Amino acid sequence: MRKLSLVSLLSMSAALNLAAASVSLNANTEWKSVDTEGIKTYAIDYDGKGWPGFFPQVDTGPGEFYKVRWMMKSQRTGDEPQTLAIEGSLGKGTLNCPVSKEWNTYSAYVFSGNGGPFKFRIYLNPGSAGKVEAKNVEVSKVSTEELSGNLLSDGDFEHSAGSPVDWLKDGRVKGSPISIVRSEDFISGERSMAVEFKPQDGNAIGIQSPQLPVEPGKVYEFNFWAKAGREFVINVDTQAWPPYGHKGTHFWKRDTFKITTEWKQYSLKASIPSDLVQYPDLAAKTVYIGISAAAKDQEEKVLFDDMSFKRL
Amino acid sequence: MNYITAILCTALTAIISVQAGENLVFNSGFELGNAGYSCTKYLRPDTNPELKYAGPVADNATRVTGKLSLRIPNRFSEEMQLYSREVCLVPGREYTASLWMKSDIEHLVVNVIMFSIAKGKWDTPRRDFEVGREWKRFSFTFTAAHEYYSFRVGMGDRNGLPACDLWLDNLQINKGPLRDYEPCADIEATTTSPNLVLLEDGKLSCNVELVNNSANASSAKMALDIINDGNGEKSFSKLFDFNLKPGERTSIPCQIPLNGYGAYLAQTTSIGTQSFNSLPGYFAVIGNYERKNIDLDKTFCVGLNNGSGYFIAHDRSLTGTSGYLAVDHDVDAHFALLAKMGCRLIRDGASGCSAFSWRMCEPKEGEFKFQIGDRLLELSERHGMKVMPILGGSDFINPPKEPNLPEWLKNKSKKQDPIPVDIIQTAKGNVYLPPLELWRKFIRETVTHCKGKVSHYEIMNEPNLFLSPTEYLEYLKAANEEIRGADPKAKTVGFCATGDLGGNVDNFMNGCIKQKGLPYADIVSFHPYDARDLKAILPADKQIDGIKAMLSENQENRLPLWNTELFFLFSGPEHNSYEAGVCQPQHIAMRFLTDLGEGLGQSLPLPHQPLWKPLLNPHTDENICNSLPSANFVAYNALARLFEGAKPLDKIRWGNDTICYVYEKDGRPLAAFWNYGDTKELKLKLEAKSSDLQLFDLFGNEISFPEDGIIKFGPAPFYLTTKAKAWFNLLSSEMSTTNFDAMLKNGQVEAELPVAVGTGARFVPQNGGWALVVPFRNCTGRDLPGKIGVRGEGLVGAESVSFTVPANGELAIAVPVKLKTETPGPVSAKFALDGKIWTLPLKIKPPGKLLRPGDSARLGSSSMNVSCNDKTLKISFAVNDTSPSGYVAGREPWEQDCIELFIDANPEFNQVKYPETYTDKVARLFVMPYAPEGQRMVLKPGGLDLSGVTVATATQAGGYTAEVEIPLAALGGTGIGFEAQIDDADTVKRQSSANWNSNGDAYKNRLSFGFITFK
Repeated sequence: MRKLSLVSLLSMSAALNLAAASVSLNANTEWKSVDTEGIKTYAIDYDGKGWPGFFPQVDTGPGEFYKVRWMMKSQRTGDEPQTLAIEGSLGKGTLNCPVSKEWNTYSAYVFSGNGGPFKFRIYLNPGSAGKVEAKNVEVSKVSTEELSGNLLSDGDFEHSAGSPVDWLKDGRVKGSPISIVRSEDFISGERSMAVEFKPQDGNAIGIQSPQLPVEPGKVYEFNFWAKAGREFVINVDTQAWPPYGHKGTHFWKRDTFKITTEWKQYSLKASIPSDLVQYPDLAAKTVYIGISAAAKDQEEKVLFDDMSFKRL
Repeated sequence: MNYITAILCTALTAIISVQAGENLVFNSGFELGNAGYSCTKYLRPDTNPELKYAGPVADNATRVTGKLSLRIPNRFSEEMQLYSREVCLVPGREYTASLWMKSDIEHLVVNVIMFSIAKGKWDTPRRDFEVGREWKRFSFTFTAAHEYYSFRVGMGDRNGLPACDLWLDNLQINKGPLRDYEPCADIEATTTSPNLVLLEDGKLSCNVELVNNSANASSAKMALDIINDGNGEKSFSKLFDFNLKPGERTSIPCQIPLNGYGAYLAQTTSIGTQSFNSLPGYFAVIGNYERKNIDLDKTFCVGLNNGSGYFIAHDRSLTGTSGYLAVDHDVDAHFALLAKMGCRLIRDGASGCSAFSWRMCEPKEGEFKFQIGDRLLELSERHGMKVMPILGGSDFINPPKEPNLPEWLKNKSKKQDPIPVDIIQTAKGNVYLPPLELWRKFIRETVTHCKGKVSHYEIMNEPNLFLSPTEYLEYLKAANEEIRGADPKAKTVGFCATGDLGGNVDNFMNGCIKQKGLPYADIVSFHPYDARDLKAILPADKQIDGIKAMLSENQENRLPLWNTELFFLFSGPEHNSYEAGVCQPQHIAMRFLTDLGEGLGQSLPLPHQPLWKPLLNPHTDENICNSLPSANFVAYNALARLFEGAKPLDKIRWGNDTICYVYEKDGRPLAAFWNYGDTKELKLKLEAKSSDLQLFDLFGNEISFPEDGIIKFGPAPFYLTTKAKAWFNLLSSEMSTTNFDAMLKNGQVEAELPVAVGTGARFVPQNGGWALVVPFRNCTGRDLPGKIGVRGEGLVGAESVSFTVPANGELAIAVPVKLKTETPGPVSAKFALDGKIWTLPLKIKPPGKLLRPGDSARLGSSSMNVSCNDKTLKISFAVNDTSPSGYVAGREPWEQDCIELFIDANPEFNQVKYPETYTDKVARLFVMPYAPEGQRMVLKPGGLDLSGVTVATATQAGGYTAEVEIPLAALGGTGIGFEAQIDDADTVKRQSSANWNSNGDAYKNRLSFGFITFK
């Protein structure tokens, strides 16, 4: 397959309708489009080199949240994440997202800052080869109602196939510690998330959520249910580290939980500082959740379900 | 006995084997006297004016074997039956019953019956024998249809019952054909003692009676255990050694300490003897009831119904004379027992014969006879009880075989016409209305005769079952006028509406009130068979509230309300089943305390039968031959001692189906509380000190008030009162009534589980798939937020659903599910509450059938089709029927060719208790194709407005078609619960039915419906 350069990216041929429009792709591209039951699906036989992708661009209003959604599946032999690059009034940055061998819907929130043109690029990272498909790329303004709901797109994992759409492994981790498993005894549903906490190279590995939209000065609650094969202590970190890079004081809050052998609910509250001078990271109005083993040398498989991150 | 007879008897004794084992009858040879036997007699005042009960006695002057026989004296020619202790047989097997009998006269007819009543069915294989002056063995072989049988031996027949004595010996029931006689065991034992003692007596004297039936000496150890009949706990035990020669009988005296109020078995068991059979003794321990003068209009007291079996009327008895039932003791002794219990009021004539029935009082026109009633009044008065006669009873119902009115009166009465729609089927066509002037005369004569002895008269028994309100009020008004004229101090108790046998209390009361009938009574009576307890579909207190509201709306000073009958005290068993009548002490207490707590004037629900322990025949459906005061008797004694004269003060609900009534008696507060629901492991926490309170069980035994104030609910009520101020401690003070009430109000009830699920989780269509509607109740005393999901075999909950259920409230949540199979296996509800998951199993049935517009379905050989537009739901039928029923006016719709439709406009509605009961969103529709034009549809719309429903039918050879159109606006929602049933009848009655979804129970179970969705 011909090597693609960064500039060999697909361009959007049509202006975006901000009320969740699909992206249309340019014809001069390695992504081939196929009409499947009325839905345009794009596929590429990726050779593992370069950063093939596609990118929408929108004009954003000031002080708004936007959500990018797309579906993707990958038959690559490795577990390299996909990346969403963003460029707007707040700067440039990248967000990594998981990708699974089955169709899943992925999403990411971004804050428009002062508004104006906002570029998104969804691209593959070099590594293993394999066929990758994508469809239903949408960008939409996030409603007030959605911002007051569960900001995790698939908190009960019922819509995640293969691996959870909201959670990404720690970048240092080799292998695939996160999976979607059949749920036997949770409240409802067929799926739970399983995380195998296993130290690697002396480090306690973890997982992290996507960037979640927050309003400085407000309080948010992260709820989750968990159980383990034995009592196991985890750390849950709520922190602000925007894709544009860190500045100023790092907002970081750690809570520790002892997970038991029975399903129990756990929750933490995070009060987002309103002082953007001290915490300039919060100008991007996002935080993310990280979950890791509290002890570096302990390993255990922990099941999670019914996770939510909501404003109180 | 002469010399020759004695030789013969001795010879017979030598011949007859006394090997033990095959005979099932206890004390068959009467070597232990009459232990294990009970004898009922109807005492005749004409031949036995003192009403002396002469019961069977052991006789050592004559016998077949052993030393004793049983002599039954019958010098007064009284109808009698002797019952043995029951034996356990194998149904379908052949047995032979045999006994030796002789009399002091020749040609005495004796009927011997193997008596069994099981689940309402009688089996009574019988032979009549002619008994003479010589001992002779009689037998017959029968096949057991049931498990438990007793011997029942009676004298005489319709040809006569002479005065005589009858002797019995060597009763036997053995497998197969007749065998030589043998006792049932080598050693037989029983315990004898007084049947009723006062706790303050401190101890009970009893005797352990033993006999050695074998040909060998016997020695062994024996244990005497005193066992609480309520909870099975052993309260006393003693070991004995015995040594008995062959044929020897011994009596071992024993003193038993009395530890508390209750009823107890005295059980003897042998240690070391293989062939041993015993009958436990039985006694009840009560408190001393102090009889005070009471005013029935002011003092709530213990009362009983004493109808069926109490009397036998002249025209029903073998002897042609009336008689008083006596069981193992005098009638006077029976009343003495009731008096010790604390009974103060007897309602005469609930069922069966009444001392004041018209046919007893005026057997011939103008000839009034009150002897039977007079005796009843005298007996009752002597023992401190008042009698409330029921004048008229159910006398107006006169089935051809057993009329209730005397014949002369029936001939003068008018047959009821028209027949009211609401009366019971058995009364239709059998009700005769006597002339009013004769009715007035009967009332006037009776009341005049009883003046000063009777203070209250009830007018008719359950008249709503056989009269319309108009008809009843005519007789009530007349009776009331005659009562006031003859005895101005006497009170008229009227209406007596019943919920029994399908009767509707509200409808009848409303009918009477609308016709201004209230002034014709001083007291309103009712029978709450359709609201037996607080957990009934119609809770007892709700029914009382409803009646009170009806009365208050129409009167400034509401008439007092009396519960004058309720034979079945608890919800659940089918009416008239044996199980329904087997009440426990807690049922008695709960009904009494509910009626008192709800402000009723009197409560006299039960007949006397449940007061006696059926020791000899516990598996017989009627307590016909027992007179041992039981635990029920002790419960009533406690109620009489503790609650007589109490006044209701407050009613507290702590949630989780618990109740607390607060009363005041003699200036002191008193409370009763219990768990009337099904939730187990409930605990009550009271903020109180043991130094302030006294806690009792339902027999009146004091229980230590727990230091932590936590009381665990059991099946029975608790009683609570304040501790009296200690006279020697000037600093001590008794808790005031106000503080007592406040303390109880602050009580907290907690369940082991925070939620309880209902019995009827149900699949309903939702959004093109299914949801499982789970009803549940919050068992905590606070609002409870949470989530619910479901899991199980063959399905998975698609998502969990959030909820907040109010404190002690209930919800029904539709949980979307994915069905993996048509018949899911065990399913559980999963509740996420307070950070934990609770898993509760659900009872489910497979999803009902579902029809969408355009779908068709079969009902037997007929078909049904559904269509829908934006305004109307149309259901079409094509019915195959080659034998048209035609139409007969007055025939119920389902007893002719008919399509029945059942519609539930709110199928998602579900409740924890009784989810199957119809709501006001459930309607029934009957389509009768052969009815005249304009009468082809009968609607029972419930609360739905189905005035826009149209029906079109067409008949043809081989069947008929029907189209039913229902406006969607009347139904609402996106679908309905639905069932269709096609009834196929001939010209007489229904022959078969074909159902679409249910198994024929749709008329009473809305959960058996399938569904129709509108899209």
